[in-house]
Amino acid sequence: MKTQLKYVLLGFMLMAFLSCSDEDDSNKDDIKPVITINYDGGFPQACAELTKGETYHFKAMISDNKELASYSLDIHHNFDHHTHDDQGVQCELDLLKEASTPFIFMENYTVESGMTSYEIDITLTIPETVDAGDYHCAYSVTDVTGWQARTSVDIKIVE
Amino acid sequence: MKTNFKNLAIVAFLGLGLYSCSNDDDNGPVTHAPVISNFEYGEGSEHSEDQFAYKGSDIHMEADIYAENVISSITVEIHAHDLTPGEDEVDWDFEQTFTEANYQVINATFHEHIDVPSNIPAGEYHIVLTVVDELGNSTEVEGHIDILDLISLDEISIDETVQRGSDIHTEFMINAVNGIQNITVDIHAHGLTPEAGEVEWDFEQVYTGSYQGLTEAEFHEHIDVPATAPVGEYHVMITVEDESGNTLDYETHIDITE
Repeated sequence: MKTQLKYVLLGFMLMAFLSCSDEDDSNKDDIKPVITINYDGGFPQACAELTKGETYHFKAMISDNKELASYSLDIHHNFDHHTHDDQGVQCELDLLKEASTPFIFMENYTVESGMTSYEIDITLTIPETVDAGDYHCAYSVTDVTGWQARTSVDIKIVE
Repeated sequence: MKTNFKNLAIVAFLGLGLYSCSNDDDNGPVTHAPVISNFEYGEGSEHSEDQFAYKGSDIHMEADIYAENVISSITVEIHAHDLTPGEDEVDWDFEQTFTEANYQVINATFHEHIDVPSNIPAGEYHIVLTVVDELGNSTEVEGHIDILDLISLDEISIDETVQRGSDIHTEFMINAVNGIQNITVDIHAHGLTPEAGEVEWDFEQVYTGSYQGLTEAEFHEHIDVPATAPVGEYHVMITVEDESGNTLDYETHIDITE
């Protein structure tokens, strides 16, 4: 009988621990979205050379466990050799130089509601009048909760 | 003994059961203000973390931000406390608020380049980065940055009085981040009338040779004063030009004596 009581006791203790779950747990989203250009069709790949006047499809795959909200594409010059690419590929950079009319592109886009995966496809023409040289191409993706993921590659704009 | 145990068990579990499941909302939702980490700022062109920037260039600024209630805005303020603008200079009191969609997230990397005007006093400035979340909680980090002149002169030593027929000792340190192009020394008088046997002295020389291309140099020259120069007060003007075409003027006076 004493032994039985012990088991009952143990059972209650377990109940006490398990029953008090945080209500938010089931709804709480602590998983960041995922963004990648590492697939066939992902563009641009690290060290890609983009020709002035040409039109390109910038493509990346994004996904999230709950729901995607928005994404952005940011292209800015890297004439000063700053770093924030995460592709682990060392591209050969041109010499340091001063920017005169650098290409700057920064645009935010909304993802249709209810999507958990999506392929970014932005059509962009590189203007003829911009400075050639080293650039950074950075994508970001944000989920409905507000988590963001980013990826960035070194590219070159050439004549 | 058995009963005691049973009672103890019942009381204990009732107690546990009632107390353990308290509603989190009783004390209002627990929220944390945004957290700013890895705040770095400094000379833009090198992306360094050294806390200085040159006039006319830009300040690189970067920080990781974690805001569990989602970032609403990020504000950068830059101002000086004890700097007095000189001639042709204005106070720099900068404030910009960033509310771009790609910053309105839980985990952001703030990265901006703030242009530094050319016409502001050099010296120490105060930088404040403020992050506000969607519930209105805010967090700020701050720091100091030295705004430097592209060209500066230091340890200036130029004779104040010189006998004609001897030479003027001229010495100073030059710092020019873009490299020195040349140094012009101009010495002339205003309203001195040459007397018999005297010849008006108007000196101008451009020095390049051993200085060109250096970012730090000691200018040391001896300038001969003709024995025929009229005595009186002369105006000395030194102009340093860097390889990007920026110039710095320095003016002083010298007495030429018999």
